[in-house]
Amino acid sequence: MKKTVLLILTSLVSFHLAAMEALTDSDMQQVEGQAGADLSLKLVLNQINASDSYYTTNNAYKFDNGTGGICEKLQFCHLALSVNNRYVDANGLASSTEGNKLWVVFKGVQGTINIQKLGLDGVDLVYKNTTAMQMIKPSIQLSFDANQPIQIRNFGFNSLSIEKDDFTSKTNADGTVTESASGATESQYGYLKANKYVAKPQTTGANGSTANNYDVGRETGFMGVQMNGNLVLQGKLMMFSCDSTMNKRC
Amino acid sequence: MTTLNYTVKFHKTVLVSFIGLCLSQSCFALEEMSDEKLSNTTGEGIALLPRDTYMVFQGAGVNQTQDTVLTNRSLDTGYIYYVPVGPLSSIVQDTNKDGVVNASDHSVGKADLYLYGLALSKNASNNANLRLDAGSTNGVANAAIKSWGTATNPWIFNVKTDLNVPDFGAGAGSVTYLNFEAPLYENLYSFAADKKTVTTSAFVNDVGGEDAYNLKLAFWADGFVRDQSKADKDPNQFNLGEGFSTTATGRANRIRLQGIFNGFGLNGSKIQLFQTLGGATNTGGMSAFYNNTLGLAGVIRLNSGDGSKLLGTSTANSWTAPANLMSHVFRISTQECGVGNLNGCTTPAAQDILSTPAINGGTAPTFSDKEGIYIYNLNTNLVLGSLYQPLILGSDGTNFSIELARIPNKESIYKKIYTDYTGADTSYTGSTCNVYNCGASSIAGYQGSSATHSSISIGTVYSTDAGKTLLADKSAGAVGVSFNQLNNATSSNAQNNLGSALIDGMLIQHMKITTKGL
Repeated sequence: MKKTVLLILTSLVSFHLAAMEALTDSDMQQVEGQAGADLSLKLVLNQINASDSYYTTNNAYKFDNGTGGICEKLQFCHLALSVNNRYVDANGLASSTEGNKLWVVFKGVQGTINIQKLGLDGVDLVYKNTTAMQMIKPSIQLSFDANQPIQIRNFGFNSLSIEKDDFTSKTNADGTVTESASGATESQYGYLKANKYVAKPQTTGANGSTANNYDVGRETGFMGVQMNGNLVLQGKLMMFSCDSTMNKRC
Repeated sequence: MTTLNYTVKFHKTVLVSFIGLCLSQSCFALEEMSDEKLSNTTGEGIALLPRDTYMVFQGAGVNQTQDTVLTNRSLDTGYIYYVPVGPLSSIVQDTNKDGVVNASDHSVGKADLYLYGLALSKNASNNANLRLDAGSTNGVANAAIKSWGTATNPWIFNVKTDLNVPDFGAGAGSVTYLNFEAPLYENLYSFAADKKTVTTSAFVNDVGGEDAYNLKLAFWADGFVRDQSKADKDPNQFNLGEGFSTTATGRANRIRLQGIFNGFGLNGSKIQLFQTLGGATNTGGMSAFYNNTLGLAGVIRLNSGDGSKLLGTSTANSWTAPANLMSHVFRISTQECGVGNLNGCTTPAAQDILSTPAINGGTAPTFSDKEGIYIYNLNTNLVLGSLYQPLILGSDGTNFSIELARIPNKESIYKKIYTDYTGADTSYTGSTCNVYNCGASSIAGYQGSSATHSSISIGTVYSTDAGKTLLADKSAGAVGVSFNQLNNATSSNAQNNLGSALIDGMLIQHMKITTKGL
């Protein structure tokens, strides 16, 4: 009984593992593909959604920064990028090794993008090679229809700003980045700064300016972008592996 | 409480053997790949090939049929709005430069810019007043780009590694970069023995992909002068008066224009994204800020084709414009049709001087088809940096800068960039990118993309050295820029013909653009 069980168990674990093998183009051609899929994709980012309790027709596609909204705390609706080794040192000069880390912050990132129809198919791309022989390359085909445009609503960001951390960081010899001292708090990080403009009355003199009421309540920065419309896109996009036999650039 | 009851009783040795066997399978953990290992990998990349494609940004609303999309240009009201956040500085408001901002200054407003109806398609009818060509054949729009590239010359997105790239200091290193390339430009142009006469051959490699050389890019735009002292949506938001902080209704505080670029191609363009090498110190005009950061390099090519034969005929009392001028033209016009239009397009009525679809709703305007600035046969070939002279980003904490690194005083770099135009010293390998060629090519039948100097040519431009450098044609038949459309004339030249223009062999030694007052 013992030996039998051992034998059975051994046979169970001695299965063969076959490695994955590359599929050749001709193998792929043998496969009969069925009709592909039509996809519909909708992205609603930081905007009032139809399922929200405070949704009405008039506030559709609006930035969700009201009480209880996703972006009630504006600092959590930022998208920030920090390029490798960009710092400002203690003298206010640019440094690539140490200092206050710099961020490009997109504030108030929001938008709705509704791709009503995206066709996804696998097709054969027929072409002639350098010796004029007909070749077939399997390819993914993404297709878009003009009569089902991509709906873009208030997509963009409210302001773009360069921010820096209130504390210093440094790049180590191995390329990693560490903060010079521990204990940095939330508001000290550049990407979490959510300052807003306040109303400014008209002044004259060396530092004079006309009144500023346009920027009131907007997050600080220098440019916002907002896209609105139906992007009519017609056509097919073939995606295929680029190998050196068909293209010397690969 | 649950208890486990075993129906089969194992001997401990059996169990141990089983576990042992299970464990003895060799497993390999994922291992970190070093940069060196990665640099030995040849990326095959993804090839992209758009077919039967066009794009137009129409207004938010219900879905339209393709027929309506292709024929109804008044629906082109989808927009990209540049929101002018951030207050005006005192420096810009001191317009008379007397050191103080007061009633003696002119008013200064913020710019509110709406870019409408962005469209990219094939130039099917050489119409320089139509943003998208109408009509279709067998269900495929005439405006559709049949194949943007070919299966063997597609768009490519891949990762590549260049070895032995000189760094800013004394050394060299390998640079791995993300590479996005448009289809290559087929080598269509050959020069006769006189090094001047160009023959444009028919497509051989890019058969089926000809549309890529004949694109149409179009948009229209509204720009407003915004009074920052008025809140958004205030009735007077665009009624900024002439003097400091004044309001005046009825001022034309809007510029409305349309831009249409017919018959160009992007072929040969590329963009590379990588981490710059190190070695720079703050000496010799260099900056340590160049080291080990995000670097960009690219070649931007917008070519309309050979312009050497684009010549009108001039005699003592007649001037005949070249044929098919509208097939390769970049036109910017501002005149809207409406009552009293001098060019004859008196309908429909022009829109209000401060109206725009994004705010007031309504349709896209109708532009006059004769007015505007016409730039014929524009060939733009811009070389922006390289793996050893990257474009980098910087900031002082509030303002930002874009800098094309200074060329180091290092032979292995500057000999790659500078050109010896006499050809005597072949160790200088730099060259100019123009419509005829763009550096040495490693792929037969196509132009290269390794040139180091930029070139911008407008209109009748020719070469006397087989395409190495260009010259602007100065004869009476030459065309290039004109205000209003060029027409035949009864004098030796058309009055509005400003002639050809050329910037050739432009090398950027060091460039830094910094914003101020943000």
